[in-house]
Amino acid sequence: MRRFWFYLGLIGRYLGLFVTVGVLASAALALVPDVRAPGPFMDRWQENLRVFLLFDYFAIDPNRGFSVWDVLLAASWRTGTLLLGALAFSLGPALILSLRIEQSRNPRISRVTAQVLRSLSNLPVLIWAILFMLVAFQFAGIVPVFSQIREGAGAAVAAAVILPILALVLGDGALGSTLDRFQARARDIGRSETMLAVRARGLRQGRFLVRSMVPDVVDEAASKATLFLSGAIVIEVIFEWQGLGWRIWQALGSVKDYPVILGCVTVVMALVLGAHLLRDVLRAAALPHLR
Amino acid sequence: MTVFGVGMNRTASLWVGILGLLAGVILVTETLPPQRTPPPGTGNPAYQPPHIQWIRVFTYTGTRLDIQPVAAEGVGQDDPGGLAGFLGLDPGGGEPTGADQGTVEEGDTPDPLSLRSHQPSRWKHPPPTAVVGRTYRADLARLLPRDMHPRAESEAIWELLDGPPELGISSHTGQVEWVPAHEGLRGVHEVAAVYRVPEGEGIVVRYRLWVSGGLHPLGTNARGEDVLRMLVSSARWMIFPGILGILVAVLGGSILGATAGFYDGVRGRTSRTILEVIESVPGLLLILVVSVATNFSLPWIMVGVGVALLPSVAAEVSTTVQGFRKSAFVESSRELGLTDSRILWREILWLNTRPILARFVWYALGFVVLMEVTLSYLGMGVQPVNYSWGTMLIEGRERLNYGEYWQLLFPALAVVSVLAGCQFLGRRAALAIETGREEAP
Repeated sequence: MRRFWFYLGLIGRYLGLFVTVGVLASAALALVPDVRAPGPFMDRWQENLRVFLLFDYFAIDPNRGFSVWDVLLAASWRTGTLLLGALAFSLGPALILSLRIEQSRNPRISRVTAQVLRSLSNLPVLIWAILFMLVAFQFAGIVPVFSQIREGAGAAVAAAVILPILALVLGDGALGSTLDRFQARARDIGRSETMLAVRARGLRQGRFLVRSMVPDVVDEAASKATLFLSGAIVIEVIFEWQGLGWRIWQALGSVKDYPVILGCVTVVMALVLGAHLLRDVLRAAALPHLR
Repeated sequence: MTVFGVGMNRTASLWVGILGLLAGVILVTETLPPQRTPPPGTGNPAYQPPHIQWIRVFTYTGTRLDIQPVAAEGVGQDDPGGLAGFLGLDPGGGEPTGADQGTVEEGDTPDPLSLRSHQPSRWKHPPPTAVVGRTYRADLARLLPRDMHPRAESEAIWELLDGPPELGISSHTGQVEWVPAHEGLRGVHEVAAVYRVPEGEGIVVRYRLWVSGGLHPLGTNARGEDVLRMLVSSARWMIFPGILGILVAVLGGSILGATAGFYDGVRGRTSRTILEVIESVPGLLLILVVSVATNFSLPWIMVGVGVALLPSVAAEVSTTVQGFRKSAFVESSRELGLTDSRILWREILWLNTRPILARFVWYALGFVVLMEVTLSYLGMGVQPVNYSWGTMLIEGRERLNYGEYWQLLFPALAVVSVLAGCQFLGRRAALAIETGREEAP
């Protein structure tokens, strides 16, 4: 029963955060009058709150011809793909390199690779994205935008999928910080008494190392989700992935589409807080003393 | 020497020197009158800017003008071998060298539909400048692609068809002479020339002529503005509003972090909740919402950048304050009758966390620069009438299709060097802090 109340409290806490941020965002978006949102501040805020709290996204807007929900649904899976790809491409290599450095007798290559990746990831997402775009265009004649995935073939499709994900992974120090964390943790675990016992009994160390690092991987995935969703806005604009970030960018144009902005903010918030909630639930399940 | 907690060696002093120099140059350039050239053709109602059949030719550092036609009308083909053709003129009427002879060969017509075929010479020829006040001459025959007409080389008559008349191009017997006359000519000018041959045929070739006002170490943009000057001048969007962002991040972060780390009651919980709310929003999204809410006002956007940085500053301060909370000197301060607020703000925060905050100043400076560039690139920071590194990157990306790589390369290098400099100084600060702690008795 205590466990039930604990998890309920956790969900309640994140729900509270979600509503608080949503209400604040509704107020922020109501601050400036616009063609789409005339009238006094309170009226605009009320309208935004109605959209956010009552989740009024299903009504078909005659100006658009489709509902905000359709827009969000189409955009979410693209952003989701980008996010999952970036998580896989950052956590996977970082974990493998950290384990190899810890386990291998001569980890020189892994160490150098990690160092190179760490240095590369110091550049911002914006610069990586522009660089990849230019290199693909200059040397392969490919413009790696999202439409290539449907219309292109072969290398063009691969470039349109891989390059945005790589830019996201390498940019803003994401991969570097993950490598730092995993390497430090693998070193700590490798020197722990448990691992000494494992070595003494002649068991396979990899299994124990991986199992011990699961909480860190989950934690890192949740914290990187926030960073990647932030970087995804830039990536989606440059590579024309019509995801949530691209939608926000479009909706912030000359005529501001407030329901779409609020809807995208809501979905991004839900993704971030969902990842954090999942992290807390998994950690609480794995480490009972936290409860 | 110590600056903001950084123990300075030669390299660090160099970086600080560069930043100082940058700030100085900005202050100087701010006092100069704005240097904007109207787009080509404005002021002449009869002038119609040419459509796609533009031509490139260049500006750069002032030694040679190269005219390279890439499209022509009236000859039945989109690209009369012009891409490979490379025609040279020496300033002041000097004789072209043999290397500058046209290299067009029969049948050498790249596929006009292929993007790549239009860019073989992209990285090979650094674009020169046509400098105001100097004289440029060329043989007419050499301006005309040879395979346009069999008799063109010997019999064509060059005639200015359209283009700004004030440009000052004139043709004499067999030669074009051009003296870019005044500063107002700076920029790119589209010129169309007609070559008439005795049978009455006319061949129109369009050229793009670049005029600059002098030496441009980093080249010019399409409006003839100096890239170096733009780079230096754009830093004002980052440094002065950026200080606001840094202040919000460092002051707000230290107050919230200290309160969250020191107090357990309502004050502590409130600070932690505020930080949790900010932390749960992706940084760029928060800044975008702020920019919409404030109608793209740059100072407010920088305040938003500072708010996005609050959690990382606060987390560090909070950890440090928590470490000091149970330490002996805090206990003895309590015994001496000091109040909690005096212990927190003076004894812990002011005397013990300054080096950490100094490190964050460098980190925040890098973040502010990055955010300004990103927002301007997305069209939500500095608006196009003005320019910043972000808007220069957008323009550079577009101009790259015309082979003008310098407009993208140098702004990108500027961003990367400033970020690397901030990271370096941040690391130096962290190292100085570590060393200071180790050396402390």
